[in-house]
Amino acid sequence: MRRTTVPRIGYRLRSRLLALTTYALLAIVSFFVLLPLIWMVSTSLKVNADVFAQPIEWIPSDPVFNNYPEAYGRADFNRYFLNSTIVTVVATSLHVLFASLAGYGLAKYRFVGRQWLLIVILASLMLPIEVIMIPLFLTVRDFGWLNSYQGIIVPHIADAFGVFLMRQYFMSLPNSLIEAARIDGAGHLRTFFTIAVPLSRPALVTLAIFMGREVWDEFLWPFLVVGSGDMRTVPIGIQTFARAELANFPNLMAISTLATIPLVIMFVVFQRQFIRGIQATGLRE
Amino acid sequence: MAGATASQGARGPLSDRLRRAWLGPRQPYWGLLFVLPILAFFVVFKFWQMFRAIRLSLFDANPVSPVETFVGAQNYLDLAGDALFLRALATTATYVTGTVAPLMVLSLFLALMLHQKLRGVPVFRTLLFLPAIVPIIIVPILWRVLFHPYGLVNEGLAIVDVAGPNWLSDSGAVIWTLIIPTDWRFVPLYMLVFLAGLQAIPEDLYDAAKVDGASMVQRFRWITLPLLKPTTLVVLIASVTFTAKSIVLPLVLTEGGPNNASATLSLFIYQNGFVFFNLGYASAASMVLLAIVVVFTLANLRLFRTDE
Repeated sequence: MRRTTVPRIGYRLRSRLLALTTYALLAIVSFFVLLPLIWMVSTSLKVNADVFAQPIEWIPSDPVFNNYPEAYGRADFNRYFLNSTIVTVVATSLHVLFASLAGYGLAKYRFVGRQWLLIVILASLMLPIEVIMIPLFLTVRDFGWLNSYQGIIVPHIADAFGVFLMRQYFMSLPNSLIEAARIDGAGHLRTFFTIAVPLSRPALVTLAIFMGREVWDEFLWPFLVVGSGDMRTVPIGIQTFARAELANFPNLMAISTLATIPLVIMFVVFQRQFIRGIQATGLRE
Repeated sequence: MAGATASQGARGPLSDRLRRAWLGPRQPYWGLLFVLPILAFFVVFKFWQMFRAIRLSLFDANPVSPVETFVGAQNYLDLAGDALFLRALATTATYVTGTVAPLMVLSLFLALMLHQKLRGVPVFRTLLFLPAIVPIIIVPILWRVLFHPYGLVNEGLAIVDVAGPNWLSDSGAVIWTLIIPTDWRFVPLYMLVFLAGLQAIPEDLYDAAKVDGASMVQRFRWITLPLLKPTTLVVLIASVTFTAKSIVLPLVLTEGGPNNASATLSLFIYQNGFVFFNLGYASAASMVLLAIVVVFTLANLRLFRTDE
């Protein structure tokens, strides 16, 4: 290969050009990617007659803020938010507790069949709800759990990625700390709760945020098991609302915006954990 | 560290293994006790369900009557001759390829942009990630309005003098109403995965190549691409599996229509099970979905292991 020495000025100019191109491309792509969201917010402030009016009024001259209380009042969204909160908090807490226990057991103990256990747990990744929805529905029905919190919550707990994530984290935790606690006479569970858990706060927070969003967002499973109105979670409530108000575009966009805002705030606040969670476990979605 | 040596420790006679058990030989069951609670959930809500699905697929059953008639392989034979099922398979294949190809290109492209150390780039990362934050149920509701005959998509096309179809009622165009929103929501996610892959490439490799006079294109071709191969494969397999099983868009946005043109495999399962109450038939179809997921997940797990 011929060695080329690029003159300093030329190099500067080139990296400048490269930076400019990057900015331009990023700006163009961001523009197109965000356009649907801008349209959503803008339409949520219009009257229905103006939704498809041309040219598009991106910033409504006479914004109709009333769409928000109107849409929110058309269904029992207070109840849906309450249901979603209960389901998300309980399912996430239980999952984080059980997954970290299992991850700890798999990372810090040696026992016969440990590797097999991990493989079996990871194999459950091949059984997403879409594959087992029919028998799972029948099982939950036979338990008498249709239309109940436990019916929505319990199947979420069996999720392999949390176990895998926690196992990886605990493996990086120095054994000496745990050994010291054990030598001081702390029991196995006590060592876990007083030494391992406090030391794994970042991983636990990452898992909780990731899992919490998954549960909050889940559509198919509650859609299958929730029959009556007062057990609807937010996604189910929104879907029912959208079916009833098929052509009420401003109301639909208002409720869509309302449902998106909490997640955007969550993302901005927990951006690091969010991204870490996706890069560690987001491969599955 | 314990894990790194664990696989070697697992070899040798049983008594040896137990003696070397890390927290003393007398409590080897403690590790198992830690795993048991969640294992119970896996057994009841995953593995038992798989066996129930396999069993159901050999029966004629419906949710209201407790009577199940054994029919052997009949459900599978019926599937093989069911034009709707074959069409669902073809639609799923189109949906997957149509979604994954642009997804790979776009997410890698955006990750490369975001990987450059320029001021302000993190702002773009946040902006570009926003669609991935939008609740999944909002995606079909929002895009139904965007794909409206007078909606934003067709207005955009009108600017470049293209008359857009009536997306949701044109059986030739409807597949795009699944592909485009899927990519819109999931490219940002895989963009971040690619970005993590890029950030894991040691900087000094590039410095060394620069000293040797390698051009930007050469550095990309001979450093970035080869070292990004594991990430690329993981993204490819994850996005294929995910798209193949996804159901929210066909279920809420198109409801399989028009004329079943957007009925994917998972929608076929849902409809046969929960609309037509044909549990055995739906379970047989879900075994086909399981086979697809198994093939791709096994590939994924193998990649996970080579990563470690």
